[in-house]
Amino acid sequence: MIHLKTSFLALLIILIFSRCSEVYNPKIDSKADALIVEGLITDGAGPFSIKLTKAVLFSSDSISDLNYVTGAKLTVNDNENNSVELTDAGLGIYTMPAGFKAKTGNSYKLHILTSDGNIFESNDQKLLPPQSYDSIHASYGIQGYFDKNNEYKNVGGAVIEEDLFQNISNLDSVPVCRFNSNITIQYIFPLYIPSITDWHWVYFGWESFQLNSNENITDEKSLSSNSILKNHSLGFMPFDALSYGYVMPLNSDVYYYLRVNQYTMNHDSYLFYKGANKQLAASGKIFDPVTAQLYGNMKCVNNPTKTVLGLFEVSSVTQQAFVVTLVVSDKSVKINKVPYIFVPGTTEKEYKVWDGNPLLKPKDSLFNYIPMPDWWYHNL
Amino acid sequence: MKKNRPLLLPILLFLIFQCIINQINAQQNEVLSTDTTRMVPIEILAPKIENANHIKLYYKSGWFEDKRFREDIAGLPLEECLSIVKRVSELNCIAVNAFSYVFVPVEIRNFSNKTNSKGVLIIGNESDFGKYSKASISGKIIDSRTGKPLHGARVSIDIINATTTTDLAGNYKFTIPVGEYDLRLNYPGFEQDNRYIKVGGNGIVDFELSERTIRLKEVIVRDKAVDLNIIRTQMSTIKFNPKMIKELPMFLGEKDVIKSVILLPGIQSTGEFGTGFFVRGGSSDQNLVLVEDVPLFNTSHIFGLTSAINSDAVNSVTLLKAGIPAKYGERASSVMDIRLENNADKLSGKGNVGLLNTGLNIQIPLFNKKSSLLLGGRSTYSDWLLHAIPDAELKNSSASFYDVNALLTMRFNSKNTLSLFGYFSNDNFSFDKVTQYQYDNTLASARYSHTFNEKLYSVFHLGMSRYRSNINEVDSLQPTEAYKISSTTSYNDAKFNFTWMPNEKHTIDFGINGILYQLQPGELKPAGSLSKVNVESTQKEKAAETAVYVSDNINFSPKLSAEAGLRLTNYASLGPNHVFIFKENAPRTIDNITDTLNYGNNRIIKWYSSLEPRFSLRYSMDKLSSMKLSYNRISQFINLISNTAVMAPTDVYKLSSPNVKPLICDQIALGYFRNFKNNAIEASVEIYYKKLDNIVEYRDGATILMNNALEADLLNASGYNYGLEFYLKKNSGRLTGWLSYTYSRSMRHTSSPFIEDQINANKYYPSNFDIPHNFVLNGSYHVTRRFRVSGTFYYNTGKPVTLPELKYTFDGNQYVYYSDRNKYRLPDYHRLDISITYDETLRLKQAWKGSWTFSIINLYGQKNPYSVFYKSSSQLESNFSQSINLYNLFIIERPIPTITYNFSF
Repeated sequence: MIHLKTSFLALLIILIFSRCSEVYNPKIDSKADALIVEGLITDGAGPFSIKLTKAVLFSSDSISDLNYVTGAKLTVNDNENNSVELTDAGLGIYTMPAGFKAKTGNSYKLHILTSDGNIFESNDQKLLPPQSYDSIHASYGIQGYFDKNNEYKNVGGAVIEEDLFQNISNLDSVPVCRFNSNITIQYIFPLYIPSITDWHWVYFGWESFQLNSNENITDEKSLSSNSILKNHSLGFMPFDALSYGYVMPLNSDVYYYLRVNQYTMNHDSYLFYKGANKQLAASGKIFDPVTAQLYGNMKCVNNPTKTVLGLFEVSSVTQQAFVVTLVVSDKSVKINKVPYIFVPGTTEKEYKVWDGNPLLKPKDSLFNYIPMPDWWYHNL
Repeated sequence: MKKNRPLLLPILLFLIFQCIINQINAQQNEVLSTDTTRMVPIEILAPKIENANHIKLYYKSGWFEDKRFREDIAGLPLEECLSIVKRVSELNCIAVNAFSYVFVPVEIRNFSNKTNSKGVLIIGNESDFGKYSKASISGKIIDSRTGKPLHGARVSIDIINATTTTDLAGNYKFTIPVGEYDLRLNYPGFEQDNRYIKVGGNGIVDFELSERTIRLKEVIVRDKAVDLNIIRTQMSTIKFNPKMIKELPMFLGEKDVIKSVILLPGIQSTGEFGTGFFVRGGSSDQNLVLVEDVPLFNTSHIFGLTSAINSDAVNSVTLLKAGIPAKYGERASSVMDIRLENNADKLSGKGNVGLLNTGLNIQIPLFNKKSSLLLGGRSTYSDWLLHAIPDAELKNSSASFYDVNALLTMRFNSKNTLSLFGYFSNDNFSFDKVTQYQYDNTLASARYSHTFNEKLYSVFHLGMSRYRSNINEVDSLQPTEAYKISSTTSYNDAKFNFTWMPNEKHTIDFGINGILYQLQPGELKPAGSLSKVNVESTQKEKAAETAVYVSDNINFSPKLSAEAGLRLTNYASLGPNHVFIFKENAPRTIDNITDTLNYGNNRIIKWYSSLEPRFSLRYSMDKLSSMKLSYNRISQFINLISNTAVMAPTDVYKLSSPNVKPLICDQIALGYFRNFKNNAIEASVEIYYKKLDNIVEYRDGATILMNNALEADLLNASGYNYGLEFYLKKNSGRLTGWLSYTYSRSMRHTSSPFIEDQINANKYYPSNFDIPHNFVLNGSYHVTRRFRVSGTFYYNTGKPVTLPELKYTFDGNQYVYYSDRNKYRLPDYHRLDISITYDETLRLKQAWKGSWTFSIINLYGQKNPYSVFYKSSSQLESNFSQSINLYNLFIIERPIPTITYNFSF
């Protein structure tokens, strides 16, 4: 009887405390039509492009990426009366001329004339001088995260942090930065499959991942007397290859190549990314703000009621790269600066066959040598 | 959005009215079918009355000696019939419950002890009869059990429309023509009685009214002055006495006084289980909830699962929605005055064992009953239950609360009373042990009452209230990022109130009060030794509010009474603090902060004064109906900063400052009140209009927590609320209950010339509290004297909500574009709860009494959305993809059965 009573109580608690939710499809009578601008120019090496799409109804199964805008005329003007016209590359992508590079201190304005005659303009966007970091460091930690199957797991990895702004003396000019951190996992492992040739098969490849899902920005201008920003988190990088979706032997060689793009933003860009994070953070939380409308720095000149979203970002950039290594013996993490190189933009694993000693160069199935990428292991 | 059900409301209204009309007709038919006129003794009459009305009468035959009654009165409506029996027998008749009535001797005692042989009370010298045309009668009315004077008791002689009420010392006085009259005495909670008097000259007559009448152990049988809703000047009032509290609808098997008020017109809930409530379109922070005169900042446990007040400890609850007297201020929409019970003459207790918590309240008489002590507490056991559940998420979750209260009342003599009150509540809540919410309320007060003389009475009060909330983000796997954010709201006050009754027409209240507010909106600290989180805190806030007030309750005549008052409120925002200076003729955004002024400790930063007129008028057309009119202005200097759709522990309070002006609310209300069937049915219709200025609104995505520049995220808005409230209540008989319908609107708008400071381009938009249609039907049917079935049906328009209209991809993430603020509405809300109660025994000598209540919440399993949120799925991939959906959150989506055992001793 007591057991039955307890079970009943437990059932009740489950009933009460289990949050029940279901997809809600309200009738939205919106006739809203919003142009989305996604553009970035920096003082770094291009190429730069600006993407134009249109938002889709919230209830739509489609995504805005497929709702691209073609036939528009895009021009970027600066305060020195230079004007650069972008080329329509199709699929809503408009490219800046090769070799274009924004100049620190200059202001840039994006001008868009769409095929329906509407004119959109950005505010003047000033390119602020780039900021570098004071130090970057990594430590071993265990964090939970959602894997590819959206399952929550705990995994060991590197907690990567950065210190900034040590040399800023004027508190009024403490800059704000945005980080785009990308991890490239490189792997190579032999797999012995008994056969008449007694050859070994060796797999190698690489894949790149963003380290953060949300926009990673520094805090607002500090109200304290100290501008130094300590331990700003760049992200968490799992050391377990399984976390990235790979199944490989335990003794596999896995290298982690971290590239950090640090953008120094102007105020418009900062407000945009701050708002973006508010929206992203509100996802799934019932106690979060009801609305976090995200406005950018664009407006429709000929029709102010027309909605234009997104951002034309003008930021300076510094690019750093590191190899991050786990020292298994004491679970420490080494982070070594290496050259920042371009990694082919593939997200596919590549696998090749090889005919014997893994230390030799790989060959394909036709016994042709396979050239390893010149950045492989970064000569470490 | 779900389709509205336009036919549901009219059908329900029709059925309810049909039900009432049928019952009235049935009673009338009974009268018509009776034709006997025989005179019979009570022994013959009583069974006929019992059979005709399905009741049981209790009496002592000896008390009816020689009394005969017309037999046909058994066919009259019960109340009329009993009234005749009372009049003939000169006994009182007490309704123990809907099925049991007891005849007892009249409990009025005439201290002048001058009655003639017929029992007529003689006032004045009989030899003087004929000498005077008028005579002045005065005296005192006291509670026979406690000897305490009864303040507000009504003494009336209907035939000449003479009425007066007693002052705080229980004194009454009026002048009437000499003659013979039926004198009527009324006092809420006491039996109404008549006394035949013969007035020949001036005289002093004291009366002793007894609420004892029949006291069945803990169940104090009381009745109220059934026409109080008609005769009092105050309108828009909701009052629960102990008997009503006992019969309130159950919520998860618990009586809940705060939740129960949302079933009444003009009051709406903040959510499925929210114990915050909206009064006439005002936000929940516009309600001044006083427990023993001390404000309670968070009225809920576990985010509203149950309220923070233990209903077993409550003696009375009074909620004022309009015409708020001048002695109250601070909050713009309503005053809820909760008084605890502490008047036992012997050790007694009440408690309950529910599925979520257990509570016990004990009343202990002390020092020869001159003092009494109430001790009470509740605790939940949901925490260990959660841990016992084999579900990973729930296993790591916790939800617990407890509260304790104590009230010591010391009556030094008939003129001096001291009450000491203390209360503490604590809540802990977390789902996964990572994010933990904790909040607590601490209340304390000392109240000293002193009667100077028959005409002057005073109360001195010292009180404190503190509300603290903490959010702990302690992930054991990320100890370096563990943090704790805490906020504290402190309130200390002193009040000195006087009541002066210079004559029988005037009751003048005047006094002063002072409040010191101290707020710590946010303090960020590392949680644990490994945390690398830096200590940060937002600027503390401090302010003082003082008020002087005077009001006069004037009885012009039995038909006309009024209350006029004036309250002068002064508010000073105090240092230490800093004040942001915004650029002139520019949006008040953080970018436009041009300077910061710093103020030292206790320096006055900004001074606000407000003169607040209050006025109420009552005109009685006849004994059963009256019209009332009221106006009040109230200024509010403390705001709950919350931009969520539901109450959240992340909300913080903010004081008025140079950049946050005080909220000013003007309300005018008009009501018509009418009772039917000898006051068995009360009905009222009220309309109101409120104008609000300096409402705090929020920019999209405002940051509430740890925002040092919060003022730059707030917007100044104004608005109006209006509504019509209809209320029909049946007080007696087997079927009791009420029907309440409210139509109301609550609109807001900004008026800034700057787009950045506008909401919906300065157009009027529905506030979060705009719920046009609200309908409640509550009924309780007594199947037998101990067995009753109750049900409550709710229906209201869905809450306004801002929904995403568009979605788009930017930098690999999905974002949404929202509609105008509150452009859409959640689906309409409706729910049916039922309960079956087996009440405690009525035996007088039963030492331990228990009752069982079985209830089912949401009987037909309606999925009522608590909130709407959107959720993206994310993956750790370079070609990061996300889907985004809108979700409805339901707190209860299926029938929930509960069972509760209540006991008393």
